[in-house]
Amino acid sequence: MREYRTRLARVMVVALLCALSSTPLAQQVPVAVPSSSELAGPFLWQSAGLHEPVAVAITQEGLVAVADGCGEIVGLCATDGSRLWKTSTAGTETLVKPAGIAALADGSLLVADARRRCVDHFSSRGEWVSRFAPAVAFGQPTSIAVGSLGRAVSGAATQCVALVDEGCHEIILISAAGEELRRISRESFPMKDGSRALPSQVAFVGSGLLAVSASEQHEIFILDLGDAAAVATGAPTVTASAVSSLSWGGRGPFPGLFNHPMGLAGDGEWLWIADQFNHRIARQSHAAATKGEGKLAYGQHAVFPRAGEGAVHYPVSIAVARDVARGAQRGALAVVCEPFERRVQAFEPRATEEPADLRLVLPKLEGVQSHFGGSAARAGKRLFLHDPESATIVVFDLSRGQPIHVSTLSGAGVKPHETGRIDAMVALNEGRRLLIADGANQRLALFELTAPPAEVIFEPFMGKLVKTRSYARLDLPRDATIVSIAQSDALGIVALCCEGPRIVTLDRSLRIATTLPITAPDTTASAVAIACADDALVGVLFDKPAVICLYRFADNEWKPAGIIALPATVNARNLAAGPAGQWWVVDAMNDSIVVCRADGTTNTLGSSGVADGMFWLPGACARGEGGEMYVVDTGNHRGQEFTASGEWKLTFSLGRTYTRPRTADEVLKIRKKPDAPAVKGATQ
Amino acid sequence: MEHHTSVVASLLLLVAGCDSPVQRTPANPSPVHLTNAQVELVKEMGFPGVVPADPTNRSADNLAAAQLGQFLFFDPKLSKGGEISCATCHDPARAFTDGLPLNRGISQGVRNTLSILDSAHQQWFNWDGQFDSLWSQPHGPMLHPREMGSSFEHVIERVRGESILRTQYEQVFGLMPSSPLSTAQSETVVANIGKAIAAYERRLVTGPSLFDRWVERWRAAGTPRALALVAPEEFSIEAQRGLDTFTSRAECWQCHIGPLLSDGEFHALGAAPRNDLIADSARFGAVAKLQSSAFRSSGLYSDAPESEQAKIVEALVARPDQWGAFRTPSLRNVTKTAPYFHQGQFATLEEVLHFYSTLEGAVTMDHHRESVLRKTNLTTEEITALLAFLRSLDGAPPPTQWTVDPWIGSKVSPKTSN
Amino acid sequence: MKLILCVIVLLVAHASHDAASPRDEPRWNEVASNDGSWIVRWRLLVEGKPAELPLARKRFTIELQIESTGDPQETPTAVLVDAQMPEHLHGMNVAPIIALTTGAVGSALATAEGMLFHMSGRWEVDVDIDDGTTVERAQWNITLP
Repeated sequence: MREYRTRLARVMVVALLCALSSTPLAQQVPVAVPSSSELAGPFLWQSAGLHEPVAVAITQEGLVAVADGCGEIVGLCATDGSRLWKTSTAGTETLVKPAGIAALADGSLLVADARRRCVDHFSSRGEWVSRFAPAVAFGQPTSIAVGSLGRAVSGAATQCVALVDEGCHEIILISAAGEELRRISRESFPMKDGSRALPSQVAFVGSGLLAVSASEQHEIFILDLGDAAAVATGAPTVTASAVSSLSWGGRGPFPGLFNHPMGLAGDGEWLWIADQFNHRIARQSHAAATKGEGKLAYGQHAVFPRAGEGAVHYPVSIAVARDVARGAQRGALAVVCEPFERRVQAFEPRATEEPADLRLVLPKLEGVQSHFGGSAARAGKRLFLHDPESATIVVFDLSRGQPIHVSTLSGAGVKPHETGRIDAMVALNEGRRLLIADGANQRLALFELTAPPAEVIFEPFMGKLVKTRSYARLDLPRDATIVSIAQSDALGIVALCCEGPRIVTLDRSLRIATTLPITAPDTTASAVAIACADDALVGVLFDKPAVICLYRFADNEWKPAGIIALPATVNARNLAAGPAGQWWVVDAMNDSIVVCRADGTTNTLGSSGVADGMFWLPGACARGEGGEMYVVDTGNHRGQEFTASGEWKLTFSLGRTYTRPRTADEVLKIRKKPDAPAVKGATQ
Repeated sequence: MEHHTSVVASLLLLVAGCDSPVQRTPANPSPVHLTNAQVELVKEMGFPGVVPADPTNRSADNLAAAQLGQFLFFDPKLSKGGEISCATCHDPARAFTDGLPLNRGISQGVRNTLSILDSAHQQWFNWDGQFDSLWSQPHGPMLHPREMGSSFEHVIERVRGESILRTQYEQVFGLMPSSPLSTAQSETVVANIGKAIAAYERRLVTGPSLFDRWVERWRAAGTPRALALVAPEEFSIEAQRGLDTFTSRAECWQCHIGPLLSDGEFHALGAAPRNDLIADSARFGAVAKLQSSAFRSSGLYSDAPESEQAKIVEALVARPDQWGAFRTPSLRNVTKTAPYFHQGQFATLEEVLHFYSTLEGAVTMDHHRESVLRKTNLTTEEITALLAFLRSLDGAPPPTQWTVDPWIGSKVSPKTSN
Repeated sequence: MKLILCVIVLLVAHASHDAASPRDEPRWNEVASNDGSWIVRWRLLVEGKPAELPLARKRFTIELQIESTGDPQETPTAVLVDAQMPEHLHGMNVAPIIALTTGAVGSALATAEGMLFHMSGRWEVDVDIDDGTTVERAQWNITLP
């Protein structure tokens, strides 16, 4: 009991977080939880217990097919969501990472496997039929859509497959017979600032129109694919000549703005959008939206409670179909994938007419709510956590057990201080500097904190941007992604580039010191994280299959230093080196940390849940100065601290967690950095 | 010098003792002392004086144009159906507003009617700054289906067909082109009509308020930090306290600054949209509309397409953080322009201050992002003082000749003509 | 050598504005970039004349002299100038027009025309200097009363 009190007190100390709000609890404004009528339409059913539902398709015969990123496709009954079948093989091969799914007119399915770099054709009963378009070279196929090209040469509509290849950031158009028609490069997605957007997902909207989401840029594009002949021979034309009417969006919660829009579904003149970080489904008239009109959104910030039916949480994919067999009747159906909830939900989509009671539910003003994502960095006594929803970095002072700095980095943009997708980060100079790998802008950005504040401050852009360096100037391949960065005294900055893959060491001026091409243990394996042990030993974590490959830098050259194989069920996400030669592997889908000791033995920490010491889709881990383990518990919107031996120590966050809502006294009151001195004029 | 002044002020206060009206106020016995920073802020306030020139409108200060503009302003025949004039919503008897939460022309609109008093001092017009000149602004309500519901063709025909309007138009702008008009001719006439209305609206300026007169005396007294050194006259001690709160803890000055007590810029204040309305994109959407308008300061019909304002308009950028950002309205005559905010969300100034004090019901631009706004938790005394200060900002109305309907008493009534 | 160059630049700058305006004309300000690779000298021009502060809601120009401190010296290949209000979470409402003239190795002159501060308060001016490999920032504050 005494120990519990001590722990509770420590949690309270962390939660009190320097300045406490004087606001009485009664005045705390709850996050708006919309009723189902404010969402896409009346809630029908949900199907929980999936692993990582990332894409969904609906057939007219009443099949809801879900691509599960953990290596399965699942068939659900459109009537009630019950499971009809589950498939994990494609012929003689095993599905590794299904990332996209679409239904052909005959009810059969196309499934894009991002790791096997192919598209497979399945029957509506989940039986493998054939490899689709075997002659087409795929980099990393993800989103896939089937639609009509509009006017074909013969006058009849032509079925076409559109597919996003995230490996080369292109859209590939393929005929129903599997013939590659053409590739649409990122040049077709110009942003107003001159940069180019990266396509995320696709959907056909009407005849010959292709909607494309660019989640990193928070934009939606509409491409007019023209007729079949034009598609085969020339560049697709866009619906309007002016760039400003080509796309719409921008980061924000309001209608017409998005925060990481992902999944798309066409529905006549309407386009449905899974607006991931706004936790909502938007429905918009794509024709009107390009003219700046008709930007309407349903659903809003339905983060709490987790189990709420009808509330959407991190939606990533949506499918909408009219006239679907649902039991004895036929009707309309909209299905939303929520990987963080491990479920899909079905709604009765609204009719195309606008309901009279449509109104926007805006989030209540409640201060920063940090939902920590897949990055953590620690140097000295500072722990940096990252909230991808708001592009916020939160700095915790571990010696005081409290956050000291909250910094919103700008959303999508190309200005040097504007940070898009944070793939990785590493703390330098005892935590005074932070190096970020910005995947959206394909560059490294080095920030510097101002002097340690006496109290928590809110300071946009990390105080100071020091410098940036683009990947192109690091001699990395085009479209390279730096997925992880680590740092050690012996090696300096060590970055892992998943193309190749390769390890790159950098000096403090971000110049390349050494490069080590490495070999993946399997053709489907992908390099996901890197960590440095104390003795110039580097571990590279691969996933599918999960393996740690060790390398040591000695005598001015890299040498392999062994391989640690992880259990086959591990879904490896992140890696840190423990204090006694052990490696900590974040196993996201199994909600646990796998500890690999130097003697070859392994054990697992944690399990699925919201209690202290449990995890919900953990994203990252980092080692503390004293050997503590910090885990970013992403799905629970919190961080947790453990001893080196795995004993839970405390749980911390800025706002609410799934453990419990914070009381008024625990709500963090962020203070801004004081204004510059009252002296007028220039100050440095 | 300033230090010296404040020392003298302190001594004077000690000597003046209990005879001072400050001392007699039982709830707040202490006199008001401004900080140096507050002094700098208050120096910027005070009567705005002569309206600035508008080089984009050659007729801006032409008396005949203003007289034409007055006829146009009060002419309901410009509207579809002939019932709605500018003055319908901008009622001279209500400080050129309509007293309604949402404007009502042909049908109910979606925004609150702004007063046009002192609008010649502004840089941007409408709640969202969709217009960059006083002369292009009238085109908005003329064409808006919920306001006057008119068309440029109808407006031109009205001016062409009504002898009073046509005579005055030709006196100011030259011969009205004969039909059929080319697009350029039509737009030229419409621009001129806007310029005449602007010339009229430039006359709708208010006189010095109690606060303005006090500022004048305060400046003459060397802008002392101790306000008791300046005879309060009608600018009461309560109002002085309100000024103190306004320029310090309540942070009103952050946006309500300068002679108009407005920075003229756009801010998202978090006031939730009315339940029956979809949220308004405000400045975010308005920038694109402005930059594509033929009647912008840098456009064909501007009389100074290279002016400072024209260059600013061409360089404007629309950023998502401008979504829901509305123009800071002037606080001059604020007691006469209720209800408040862009959708008339607050019926009284007390409600406005309660909102700023508590942020009750406020919504945010981004649910994970820190907001610039913070609760000020104003006391009852502070709110009372702020109200007293706001009441002191009412200025004398414009000259009567500019506030009356010129059609009344003229040979032709717009109700019967044409 | 660098020191001599620096002195010459300052003398020339000083002489030029001595000739053009009274002696109390604002001097060039100097700031090191955030990783020390550049020295940036800057001044404001309001209505074409050097000024201590910009005017609210009036366009102004920033003149820049940029010099490398590196060895070997790098030459700026591009410069971005922008400004933001950190306390208000936004930047300028306008996009300035930037002109860059490279001089001797390791130096450049730049102007940013059409800067506009539309609000009172602290503005952070950011100058991002690109040498063809990295972009390094120099920054300073201007508080607009």
